[in-house]
Amino acid sequence: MTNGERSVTGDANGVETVSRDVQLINKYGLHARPATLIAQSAKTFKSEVVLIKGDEKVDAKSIFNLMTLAAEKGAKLTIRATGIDAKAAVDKIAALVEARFNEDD
Amino acid sequence: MAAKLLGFLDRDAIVTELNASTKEEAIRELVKVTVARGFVDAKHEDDLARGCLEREKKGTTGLGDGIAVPHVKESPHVKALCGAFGRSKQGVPFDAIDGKKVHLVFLILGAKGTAADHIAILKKLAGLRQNEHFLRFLKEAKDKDAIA
Repeated sequence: MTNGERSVTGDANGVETVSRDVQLINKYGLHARPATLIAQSAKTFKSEVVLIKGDEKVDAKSIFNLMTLAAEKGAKLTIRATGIDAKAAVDKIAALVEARFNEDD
Repeated sequence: MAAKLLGFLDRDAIVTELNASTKEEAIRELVKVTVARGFVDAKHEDDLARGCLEREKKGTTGLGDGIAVPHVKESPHVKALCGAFGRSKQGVPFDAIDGKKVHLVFLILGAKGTAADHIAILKKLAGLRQNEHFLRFLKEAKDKDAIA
């Protein structure tokens, strides 16, 4: 899957699974501040949200879990959400990553 | 897939500041957390703490850089692979390989048939030990909310 491509599957109840691939482009990768921003953002959605790196999948609502990915600059991640607001959750977190978590450098 | 590798370390498994000032106290304090969470019956609490201490005698799990991973593998007294994480600002003497006190303690208790997952977790922690961001995050996080 290329960067930014999205896949969607859904059911009749409005529960859908949305995935999107992103690449970490901020200077220091997924350190404490970005992990905190992702977790805070993920928690505002009802959907289950996970971040996948290689063969590891972690709960995006847990800062600790996100930190265990030890994802550095350039790392390719998949954001996947399942629930009634899956698309919004994935879009929001992808936007954070793409905005370099609003870091200055 | 090593899904949720460290996922067992959720909010309830975190002790933001250990009271312990010795290796044994630290292990006992964290085993108590797994009892409180229902992974271990209270009657086996002492057995498991002793099991961890026996394991320490065979070789310290103080990996250096302030991290220790006391553990018991494949115990019949553990209902499911579980663990607890505790921090100590003052540091706990742990006979660590670099001689330094330990500030971050990851207790891992394995149930029967969980050896592979158990080893994967130990490996993951050994790798994370070299990750400066991860260590600093754990040491500096203010409270449970900032960790979990």
